[in-house]
Amino acid sequence: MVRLKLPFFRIFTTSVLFAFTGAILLFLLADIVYVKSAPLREVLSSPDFHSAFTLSLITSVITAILSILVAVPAAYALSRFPFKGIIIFDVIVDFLIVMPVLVIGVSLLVFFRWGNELNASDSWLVRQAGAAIVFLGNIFIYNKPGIVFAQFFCSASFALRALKATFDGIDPRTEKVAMTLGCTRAGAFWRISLPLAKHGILAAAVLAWSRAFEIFGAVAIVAGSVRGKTEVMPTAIYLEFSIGRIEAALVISLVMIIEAFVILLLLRMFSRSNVFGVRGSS
Amino acid sequence: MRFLPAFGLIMPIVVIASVKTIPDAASEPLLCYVGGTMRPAVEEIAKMYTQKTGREILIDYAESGQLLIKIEQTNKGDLYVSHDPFLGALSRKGFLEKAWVVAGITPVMVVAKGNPKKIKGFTDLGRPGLKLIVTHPEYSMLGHLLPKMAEKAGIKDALYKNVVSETRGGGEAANAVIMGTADASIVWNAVARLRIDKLDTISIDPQYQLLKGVDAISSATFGSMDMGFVRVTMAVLTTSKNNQAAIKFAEFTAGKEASEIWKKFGFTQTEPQIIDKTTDMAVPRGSLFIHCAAGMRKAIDACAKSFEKKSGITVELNFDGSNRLLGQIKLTRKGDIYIPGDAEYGAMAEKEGLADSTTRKVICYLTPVIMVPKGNPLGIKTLNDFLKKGVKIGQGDEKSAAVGKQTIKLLALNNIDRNRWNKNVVLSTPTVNELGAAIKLGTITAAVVWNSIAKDYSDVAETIPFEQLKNIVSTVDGVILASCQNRSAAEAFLNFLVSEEGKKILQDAGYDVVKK
Repeated sequence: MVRLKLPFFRIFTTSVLFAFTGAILLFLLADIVYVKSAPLREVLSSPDFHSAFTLSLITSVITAILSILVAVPAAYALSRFPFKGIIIFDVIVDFLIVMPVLVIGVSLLVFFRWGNELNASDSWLVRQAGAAIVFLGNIFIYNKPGIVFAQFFCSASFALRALKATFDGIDPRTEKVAMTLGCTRAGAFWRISLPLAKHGILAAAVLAWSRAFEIFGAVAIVAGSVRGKTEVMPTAIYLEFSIGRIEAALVISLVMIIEAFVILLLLRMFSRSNVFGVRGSS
Repeated sequence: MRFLPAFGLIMPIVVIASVKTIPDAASEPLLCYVGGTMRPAVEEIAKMYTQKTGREILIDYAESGQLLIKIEQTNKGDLYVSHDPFLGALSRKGFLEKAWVVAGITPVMVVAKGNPKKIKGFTDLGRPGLKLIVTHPEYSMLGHLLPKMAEKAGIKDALYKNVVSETRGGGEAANAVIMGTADASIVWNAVARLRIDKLDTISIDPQYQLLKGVDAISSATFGSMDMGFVRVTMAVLTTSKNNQAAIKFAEFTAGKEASEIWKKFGFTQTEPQIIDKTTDMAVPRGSLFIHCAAGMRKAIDACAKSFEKKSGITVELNFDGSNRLLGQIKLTRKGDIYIPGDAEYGAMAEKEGLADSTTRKVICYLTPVIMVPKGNPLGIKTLNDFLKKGVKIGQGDEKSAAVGKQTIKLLALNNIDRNRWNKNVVLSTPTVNELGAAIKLGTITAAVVWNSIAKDYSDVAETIPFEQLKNIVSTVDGVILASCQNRSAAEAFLNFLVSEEGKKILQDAGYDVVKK
């Protein structure tokens, strides 16, 4: 790094940072000022809000973990085992990033509907496949697991994207050296790449969690927005806005922000570093 | 990282464990899709119902169109609450078992609390510099209604010049007014009611409101839509596995107790109505055959023309003396509406079971006047002067025309000798119209006609009014006949006649819509 004699550059970059975060804080402040204490108490003491809060927290954490479980091997394969045409699979992963979440939700429903059609087929094998899809549909549609299901398809691609970048950034020679020292391919991954990718995995988990936490459209389509049953925090915000209770919606938003702040801060402390710093040094 | 495989094992177990075991259909909660602005009301009704019956109701809320997609894709759900035009769409997709009309919605204007921009009437929305937020016609029924109302008020261009943004739903638009990004919006009364603590509501002047069955349009997605009456309906879905329970809840929602809740949330009260797969949900169409008193010709002709243009319904008019028409109706048992020159004939038709008295509507009033040639050469001032020698009286036939029957009553009221009067009668006409023509041609020198007819001949004739105490004003009613083949269209036409728009046409044609 080149040492600057004058702190101009530092002052410039830091002031951009301050301006940006300052703007965010100003918006939050406006929200806080807008919210009166009455709706605050009313919302915080409502049982529907409590269930939405808990459900949001649990589903988003499960989704983040599931996303990592899928994204780690998939991203590793994309990064380490190229084959002709792998680029197609790389692009397919991005589908879920560019698709509007509403469309993702509707596509999931259309898929489950397909099960009914397959069920009417002449072929035994196709009927079995249809029955399996219908069985899954009954588990997910308008039920709590449907929340995780919808969240997963909206967030896993983000985790995968982040993890592929992480694995791409790890020198493959380190694994090769491990293998010359007697490690199997899996062993090299488990002992070398995975620990090296620790920060990347955390970053991916944060991305997946944030997305799962804020996603609404797909969840409402697949799991419904039933009060006290499949109502998550973004659903609650939508429901409040729809009847013009802007303060109540803002209260829930603020709670979401605090919740997110605590979780993101914990993750940063847990990794004892900047979780987005893929290189690992803070 | 060692704990990762453990998670892989635990998570599927957690997911499967969280799936509730599926209870049998009889006690299973009902899944009720609720669209638009109906959720808070349905929530309260459902709560009340659960308390009473123990049946749990799950409410899934989204935009009405989005809910249709969900019904189509999942084949699940018991009930669907929406407002027009979504019931039609549901029916076309084959998911409608039966539906109850539970309430109605009407557009209103909303402004910031205290009405800082001093908006008093609908036409104020065209005031330059005002910031309006409205709903998009592609996504909302209101978006279709507004241009029609603006057209009626003659402020269409000015109003749309003021539009700063278009939203998908009225809720968003009302929220924008709360946040101050717009000065006013047009939303459903129920949307406004939910925000009553933050917004002021101003009703739209009646003359600019749309009319039931009259103001209709066609859209590619929803077919024909009645814009004058937007219904809120609860439909039992064909996908319901618990049909009986769903019907019970729908009946409750359309019932008395629930109507209080609808009212509380600002919905319009409606007549109970059940719609099923076979109900023609389209707005009135087809044609109407109307028996109308000849004396009403000018006004009813003009009204029918305007009505045809707006509604697409064809109107055939049969003009004749009121009593002759009644004879025809008795004989043929045909026709949809009867508009006689005096209410007595309508009452006679009702008495004989030819007409439905509940549908009777007052259209206008006919006042008898004396009509003489210009300059009044014989100096006729009162009915007594009719008895003078040389006066050639033209009279509407007592057995045919309303004006004829009314003339006889006037003679009695003014103590006129019938025999002396009859001596001077030279012409008896089947309708009042011929009397005006006869004065013009000079074949008669005095007649009793309706004030509205006399006005048409002001260039060749003079009108002498009666003293108020010595006169009888006829009430012109319209009534739907028992032989009516197109009830909704007939109702629409009568509604049109008594609407502000219809009244204006009548007044312009010289008829009194207010009793004098």
